[in-house]
Amino acid sequence: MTPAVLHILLSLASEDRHGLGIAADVKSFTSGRLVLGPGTLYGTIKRLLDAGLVEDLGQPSPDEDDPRRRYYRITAKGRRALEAEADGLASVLSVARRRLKTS
Amino acid sequence: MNAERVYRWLLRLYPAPFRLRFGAEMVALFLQGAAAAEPTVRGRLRFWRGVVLDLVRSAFRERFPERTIGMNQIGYDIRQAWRSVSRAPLLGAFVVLLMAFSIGSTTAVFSIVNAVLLRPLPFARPERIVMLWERRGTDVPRNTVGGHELPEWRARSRSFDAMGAIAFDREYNLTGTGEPLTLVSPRVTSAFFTVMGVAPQLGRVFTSDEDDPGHGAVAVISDRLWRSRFNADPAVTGKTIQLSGDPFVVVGVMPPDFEFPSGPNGEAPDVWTPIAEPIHLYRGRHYLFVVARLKDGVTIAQAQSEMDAIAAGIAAEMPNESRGHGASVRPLHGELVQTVRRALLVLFAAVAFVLLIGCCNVANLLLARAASRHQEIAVRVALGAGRLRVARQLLAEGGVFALAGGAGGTLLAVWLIALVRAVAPGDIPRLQVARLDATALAFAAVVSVATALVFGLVPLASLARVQIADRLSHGSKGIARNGRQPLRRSLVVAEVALTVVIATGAGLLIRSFGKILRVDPGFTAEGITAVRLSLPAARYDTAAAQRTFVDESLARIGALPGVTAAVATNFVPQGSGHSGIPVAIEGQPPRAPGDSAMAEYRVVSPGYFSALGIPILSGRAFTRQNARVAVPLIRWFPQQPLPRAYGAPQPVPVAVINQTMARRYWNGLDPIGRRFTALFSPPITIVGVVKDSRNRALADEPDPEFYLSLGQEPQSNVTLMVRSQGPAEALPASLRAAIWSIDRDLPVSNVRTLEEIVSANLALFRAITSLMAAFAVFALILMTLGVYAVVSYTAAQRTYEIGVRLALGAQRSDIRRLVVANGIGPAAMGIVLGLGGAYALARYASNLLYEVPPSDPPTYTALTTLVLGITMMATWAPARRAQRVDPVAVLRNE
Repeated sequence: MTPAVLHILLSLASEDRHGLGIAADVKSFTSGRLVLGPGTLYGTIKRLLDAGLVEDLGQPSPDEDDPRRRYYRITAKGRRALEAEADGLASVLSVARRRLKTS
Repeated sequence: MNAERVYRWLLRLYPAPFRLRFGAEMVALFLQGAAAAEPTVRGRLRFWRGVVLDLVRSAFRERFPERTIGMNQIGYDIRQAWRSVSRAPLLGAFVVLLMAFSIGSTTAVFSIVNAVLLRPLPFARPERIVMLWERRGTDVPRNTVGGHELPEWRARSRSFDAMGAIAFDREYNLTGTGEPLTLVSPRVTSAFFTVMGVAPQLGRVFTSDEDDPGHGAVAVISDRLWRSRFNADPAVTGKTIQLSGDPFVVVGVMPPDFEFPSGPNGEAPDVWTPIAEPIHLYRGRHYLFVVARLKDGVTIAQAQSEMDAIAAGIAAEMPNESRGHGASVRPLHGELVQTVRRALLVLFAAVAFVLLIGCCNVANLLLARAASRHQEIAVRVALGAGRLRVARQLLAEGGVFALAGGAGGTLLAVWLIALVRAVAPGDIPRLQVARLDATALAFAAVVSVATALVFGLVPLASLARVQIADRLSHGSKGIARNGRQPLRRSLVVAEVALTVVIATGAGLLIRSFGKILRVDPGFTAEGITAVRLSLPAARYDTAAAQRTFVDESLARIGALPGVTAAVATNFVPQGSGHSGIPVAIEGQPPRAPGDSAMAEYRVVSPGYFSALGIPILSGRAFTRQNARVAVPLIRWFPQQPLPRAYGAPQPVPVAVINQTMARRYWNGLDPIGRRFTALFSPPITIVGVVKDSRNRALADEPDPEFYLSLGQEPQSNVTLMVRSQGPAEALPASLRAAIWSIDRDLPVSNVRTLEEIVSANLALFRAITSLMAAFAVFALILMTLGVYAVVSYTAAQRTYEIGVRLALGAQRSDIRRLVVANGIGPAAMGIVLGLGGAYALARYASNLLYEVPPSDPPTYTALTTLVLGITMMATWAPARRAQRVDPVAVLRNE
């Protein structure tokens, strides 16, 4: 899982968002360490859609938002993939913490 | 905003479905990022670096999904290249700037050359269209075709599908739709449209019936006129418009890009009307421009030989009109651009040379950079990087430069084209269609890629020679061994040679231009304002009416405050209008048919010569008492009836001639009181001789010329010339008011000072000269930098050797000579090569020069001295530095 995939899935895990919302959310929860460029963001979303990890909700009611924006939602498959990745990362993290402390 | 446009354009890197699906949102995200970026140069650079990386990587991934691994490596290479470039930002910026300028100017000039010279004309199969001219020996290769010749050519030739004619002898005023407007109004035969093969966007073109006298009250209008005066009304066909007071029915509207034939100053035509007159009766009148469409399979050479035979036949049958007249067949495209063709090709060569010099410089800089990185590269190779890997990285660095330079160059080109279109003189055909088109972009891309390859490959060539162990053990001093650097020296030779070519070209043009500016036009242009008027035949149907109007308006304008003289003429000096006519000198044996004496003529009002400061050498000027009842004087064909009251007692026809005419046709005799006839005019008595004035252009030698009096030859097209003192800002308005107080329906749009007219005549020359001068200055700067860089770099590399020489007893002056010779040697070689190239170029472009031979010694001497001097200056600082080398310090470091 590339950093872009991980962070987009993480962002969608809390709520459905459109592309701009995902970029803003990722930027804020990584404190600006990861800024997704337009090409990377939408390229990754496209691949996530193709892989079935994310679904396209189409457009929300036109009166509430910019009608061009499309909302995305994480699928069950996507949630499982994210959980698996998070578990893997957690075990890496615990090993890293233990070893860095002892050294 | 600009950044947004750039980004939108860059989105084309993605496949179309991706772009359609996400493009709008990507732009929104881009704009957010742009707004959030720090507003400093650094912040912006970082932002754009991010944008470019993001674009290139994701676009590559979208385009080639199966090659993601390669993509990652390319992304890595690009990041790496960026880091390495930004480690020396000044050098990087300089390289990109050099490239941007070289690519930008080349692309801009290419776009213009492409629009004017290369792009096909907007006609059906334009390569099959030719122009036919009457040829008179070798002196006059292109003469307008006589009325008696066209019908014979058309009837006898078999080479053409159609043959049409154009006449520029009417200038219509459009009235009844807003402010009166003077139109560019060629008259054409119905076959003209057949030849061009362009269908109207609305309605129809002329039928052959409308070529007949009395059936010609129809008009086809241009897209521009349709939009500006008729609100693009689709029901305009069938409407009646007033052209100079006569009703014409609009039958069609041409498409927007159909702008043929353009007027005398390159203006697009507004309206086409039929010639609708018995052309064949106008025997002596050479007023037709002829276009024809070649039959399929007929070559220009075949058509030419057929026309040769036809012209010979006509000359034999009608010796009075056509003896000695040939015919020439020329491709239309060449005819349209012939005057600017060489100028543009020379400019294109110059700009291509600038590009080459820029590339030489960039290659030199990168070569120096690669040399100083030998150690870094050796370390990389020692640590296990494959040579291919290192090579790829170097290529990526070249790619970064090329991309940035190409992007900058493209933007610069767009701006330059707009600039050239805005400032260039109006008479360059088809310039206004010049824009950065796909061909020009492809050209820029090819140039970018080629330069990227040069940058990539040049360091590679020296990389191949790196011996790792050698490099690591010797450290930086190992370089002293390859003190001789043939590649660099040849780059300097090339740079100097190319610079000498451009600078010499510019020098020759500047000298020519200086000579032209010093030419005495023979009249005083300062303080004269010219107003062009076209009197509509419907209201000014008699010569008397035309004369009354001119007299009345001159009287009213002469009474305006500040006006010291008001006169009139049919052709304003250097205003591109002129008319030649055969003359017969009384008392001299008649010339052989077809070999008649020719003279230009102009019609002027009394006071013209004193108002323009043209000295009268002998005799007198015109007076008001010259006015005749029987007008006009000149008849164009023998069947033309004599004017009314021809036999009544009245002043005799008179003329004032110029020096050249007096010298050529009355050699040594006093011409005053002698007589001549012009075509079928009554005998005209010479009353005065005036000094020559350059009425066509400053660079054109005066022709034999005679002036007729407006009182004897009234004109429907007149230019009023007003000499005034004091501020002239209010003059146009008061001139208009004075003219409109006599005739409210007359268009008074064309108000210019005579100085503007003279200057506009020089505009093309001025534009070419200043562009060449700009290129030359730029080339000289580039060359100086190049020589300096090479000399100081080689000197620095030889510090150790210089130290040893000094320690062994070499004099400091020897050292200086050594370093200077290092620069002068290749420069001298470059100068020799360059002078040869410059002479070849100047020979090719000698028709652009005025009274300066292509081998002009002063220019070549000056240029050689200048370039040598610059080279000396460029070697001065490195030589001083080398002289100051302390042998002890150098040797101790070892």
